[in-house]
Amino acid sequence: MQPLLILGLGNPLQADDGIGCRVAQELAMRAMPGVEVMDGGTPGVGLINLLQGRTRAIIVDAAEMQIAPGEIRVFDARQVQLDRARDQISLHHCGVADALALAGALKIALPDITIVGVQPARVEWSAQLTPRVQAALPRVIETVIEQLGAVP
Amino acid sequence: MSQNMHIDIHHVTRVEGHGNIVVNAKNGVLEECRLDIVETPRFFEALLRGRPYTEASHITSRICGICAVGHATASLRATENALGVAVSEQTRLLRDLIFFGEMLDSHVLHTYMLIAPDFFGVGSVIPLAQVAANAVLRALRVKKLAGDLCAVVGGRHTHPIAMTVGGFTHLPSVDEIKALRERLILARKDMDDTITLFKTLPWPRFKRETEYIALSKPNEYAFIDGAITSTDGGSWNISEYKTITNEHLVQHSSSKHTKHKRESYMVGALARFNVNYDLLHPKAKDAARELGMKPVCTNPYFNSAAQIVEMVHSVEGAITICDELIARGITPEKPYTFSGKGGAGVGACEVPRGTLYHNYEIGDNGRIINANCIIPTGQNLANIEADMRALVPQILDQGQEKVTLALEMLVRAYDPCISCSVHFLNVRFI
Repeated sequence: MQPLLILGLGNPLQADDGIGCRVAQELAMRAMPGVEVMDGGTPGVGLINLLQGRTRAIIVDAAEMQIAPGEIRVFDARQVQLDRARDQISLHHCGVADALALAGALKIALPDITIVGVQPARVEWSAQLTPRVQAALPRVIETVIEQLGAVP
Repeated sequence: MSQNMHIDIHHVTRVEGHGNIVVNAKNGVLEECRLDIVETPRFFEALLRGRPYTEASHITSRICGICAVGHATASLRATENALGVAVSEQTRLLRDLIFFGEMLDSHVLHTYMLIAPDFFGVGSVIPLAQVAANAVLRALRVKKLAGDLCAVVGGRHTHPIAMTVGGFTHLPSVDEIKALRERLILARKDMDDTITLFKTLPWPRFKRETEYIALSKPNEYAFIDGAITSTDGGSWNISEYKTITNEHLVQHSSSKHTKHKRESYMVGALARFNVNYDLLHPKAKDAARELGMKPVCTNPYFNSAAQIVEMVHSVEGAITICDELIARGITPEKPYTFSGKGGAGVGACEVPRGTLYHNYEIGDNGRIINANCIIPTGQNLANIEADMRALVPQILDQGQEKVTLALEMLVRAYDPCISCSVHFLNVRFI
């Protein structure tokens, strides 16, 4: 059986969009048996291939949730509506929502996916997290580790 | 039918970033025809200035989730040329191998997920998955192979981590190469099926002569390094790239336009096909014949067909390199250590969308002083507009809907990447 996957997503050159990658980089330095940590960057449709064949995955990503910057929400991918503008699918802009929709259309079995969403303050060309999201980093890591023990 | 037409396509779908198409025709005469780019320009130089040269390839590989290897390679070649670093034969082979992987990855997605929906008359790959599930599953299968190849050589999926100045920080094992080779052999069937599918699809007919520019080498179909070469004649060292690109501002676009000998030129798979056809693998030439194309092909819609030809070439090229690496074995090599002497250099690669240039000036402290980057799409924008201006009068009598689709398909054929990779989630709790 493939290990549980912690997958950090996003673009570290887009300010707070890089939070998922930062979390993955931090967690990759800790030994966690039965867990694989991956900095997936912006995999587009390739997300399906990263998830397929696994039983459980935790995705860490910046998420526009209309809450205060740096706040964290944990949710099951099936519990929420992930917005994808119809017909807007493209290679780079294909995010989690598009990839999951495509997997659904192809009847590809995906693992149980828990999403740890972090509200960004800014998403624009910059290699740094904004202060509030930077300050949230330890809490995001803690939240991900708590999820390891949780049954989805 | 009315000979007046106004088309304003706000945000062309299935291309990267935000581009608008505007067409105005009055009494059958085309008054206005342009592709607006409304994306903010990227702050490439600002991202790199002051950073240690060792970070440049990792930073720039994040510009794009599709051309991550291409940006990393162009970046490494610029740094290596700036610092006078020679690379080993093994490094060259591994870089060629990972490049074939990225070419396959990008082209299979573009042809199946962005181009095929137009041919099937559906809005996107999601409904395509319902009417042609096997084709989409094939695309994902090839993508998985390409992604795994990039992970074996580059040390990570999506954005390579093992590629460094002068070589690799982590080397694949011969067993991993052997396993890749087995899967590449199996992928030949997927390539055959790809040709069978696409040769029956209704490719738009349109021709316009233009200048095609690509890197070329005497003995191989060039992807990394080479001389800048034009179908209008002439060959230049990559250090002279600015005499080819001649970047200039245009009012309606936040991306600069380029021109060489004519008002515009084209880069990308079709340009490479036209410049370097003789050096394609024989199976790739067979694929071109089956798809009904030969050089010089002046139908821009066939850029996607040239991508299929390059997919075949990449599978065969990757198998050849695997054979070579298995025969010679993998040797541990020492990474480059900085000499304390900076310099300036240009790196150029043929990434999936065309010629990519990185140009760095590095100080004696090992930090980047200046950086410049010219991406393929920037070079194609003027040519796309020239195509639009030639195409619209030919099809104006077909009505607004058909003209709109023809223009969108034209823009998509160039596989433009207007901006890259921001994809944070939009969530509504229900």
